[in-house]
Amino acid sequence: MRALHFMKIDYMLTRKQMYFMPAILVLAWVVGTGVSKGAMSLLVTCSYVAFVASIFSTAPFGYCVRKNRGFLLLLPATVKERVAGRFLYGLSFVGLLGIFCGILWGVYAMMGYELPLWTVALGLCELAVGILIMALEFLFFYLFGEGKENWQQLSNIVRIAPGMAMFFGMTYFVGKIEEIQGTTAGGMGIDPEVLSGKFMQVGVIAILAALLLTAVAAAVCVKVIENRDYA
Amino acid sequence: MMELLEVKNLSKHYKNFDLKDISFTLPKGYIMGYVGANGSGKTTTLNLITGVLKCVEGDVRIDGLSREKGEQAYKEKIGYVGDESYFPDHFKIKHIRNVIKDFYPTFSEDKFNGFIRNWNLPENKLIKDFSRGMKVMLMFASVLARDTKLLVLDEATNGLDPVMRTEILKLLQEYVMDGERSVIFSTHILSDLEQIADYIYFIHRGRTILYDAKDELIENFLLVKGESAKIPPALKKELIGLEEKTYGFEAILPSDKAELLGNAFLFEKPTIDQIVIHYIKSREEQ
Repeated sequence: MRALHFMKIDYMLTRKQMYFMPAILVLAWVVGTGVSKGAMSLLVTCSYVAFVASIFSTAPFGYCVRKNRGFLLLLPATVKERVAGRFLYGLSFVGLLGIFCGILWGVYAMMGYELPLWTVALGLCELAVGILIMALEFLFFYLFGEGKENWQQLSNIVRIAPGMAMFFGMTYFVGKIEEIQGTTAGGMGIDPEVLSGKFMQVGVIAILAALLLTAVAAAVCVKVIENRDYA
Repeated sequence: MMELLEVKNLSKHYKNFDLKDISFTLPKGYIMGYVGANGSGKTTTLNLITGVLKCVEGDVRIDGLSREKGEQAYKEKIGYVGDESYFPDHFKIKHIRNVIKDFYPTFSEDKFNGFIRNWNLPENKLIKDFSRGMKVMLMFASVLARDTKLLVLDEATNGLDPVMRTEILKLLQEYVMDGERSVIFSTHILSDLEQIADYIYFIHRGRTILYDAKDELIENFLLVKGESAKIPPALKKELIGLEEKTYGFEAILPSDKAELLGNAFLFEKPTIDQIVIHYIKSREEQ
């Protein structure tokens, strides 16, 4: 329960960034439609959303400078609850953006766009990578940078670079898919539906694996902080 | 007397500073002044008591409970007011209220709102736009609106105007009035301690220098003044923090050495301020 209270504190700390979210989500959609069409544009939109999530989900670390951290440290709770709260914030943030992508997918489906199952699966993989990037960034901030005020530039690079790499990687990948689309499955004599089924399994497994790794990252952070001077 | 705070052999080691073997007890219903120069280890001790710093050597118990035995219950017993606001700068009062309500079952919203109204704290301003006095009062509102046992104040009255300081000192006296709660109070304004402290713990460079009931401490020393040239060697050895001034010297002398004074010197009861200043001087000369 206290972990949820810590998550709530993080939402309060970062409430200003929430005001920008609608505009950012519209921008993500515009970027997606600018790069491609239909399901492919959705993949680009989702990778942009995952990029945004990887930046914004780490925002509480920026607000918890040493002076303010006393406030959190004095609250009657354990390190485990405090760290769990921060990870819940990150996961819920990525999750909310994932829901946005899901809704967008639904809207496209209702509008009659062809959305092969494998694109949905790839979307799930993007979400998994988004979760993983978030977990690794949290791990980095807890291990090296929690509360440090004098290394703004490095922390900005850590927050931006992995998500950006994923976004541009996906944009490149979408271009490649479009080049070979129609030849890969059919040309090789593979039943596209069978391939889609396998992709879905991969997508779900990727999400589960990302969640598991996030739990491991959280456990490592708890151990590290429990052994730190500032408890 | 029932002890509320028990500190035993508390030590902390840093590269350039050691806090060594700090031990004291504070009974229920009393106020302790924790004094020392800058960098003497006051904040480190208080952070170890509040649990913000990890306590590796030594033991701290509040109302018989150590942090290891029950972190939540231990922290619920403490109210902390620091020298600067620990609230996030871009929080408003409503956010603070919200957080405290979530974490402390004994939090009284009515009481909190009462403090906010009485002290005219602005509900709609960000904390960063509060004056220093407002920030301190908000910290007090947040701890006094719930059921705490120990109030830990780290230089909380520094930089406040006399009216506000007087109000805070009154609050502290009211806080301990029921005989169940205590205050440990670090400050540079020793006149505040003269008014309200029952015990004084004096620390210098991480070591205990003096620890006693305030009245005992004042009884145990004399402030001696006179001509430097007239100080006999036997007396000079006993004087603490001998300070040469234009009109002569000033120093502290343990009361039980008063017979060494003879008739050549003036002496009077010292203030806490004077005891501390002369002790610091003597330690720095060593």
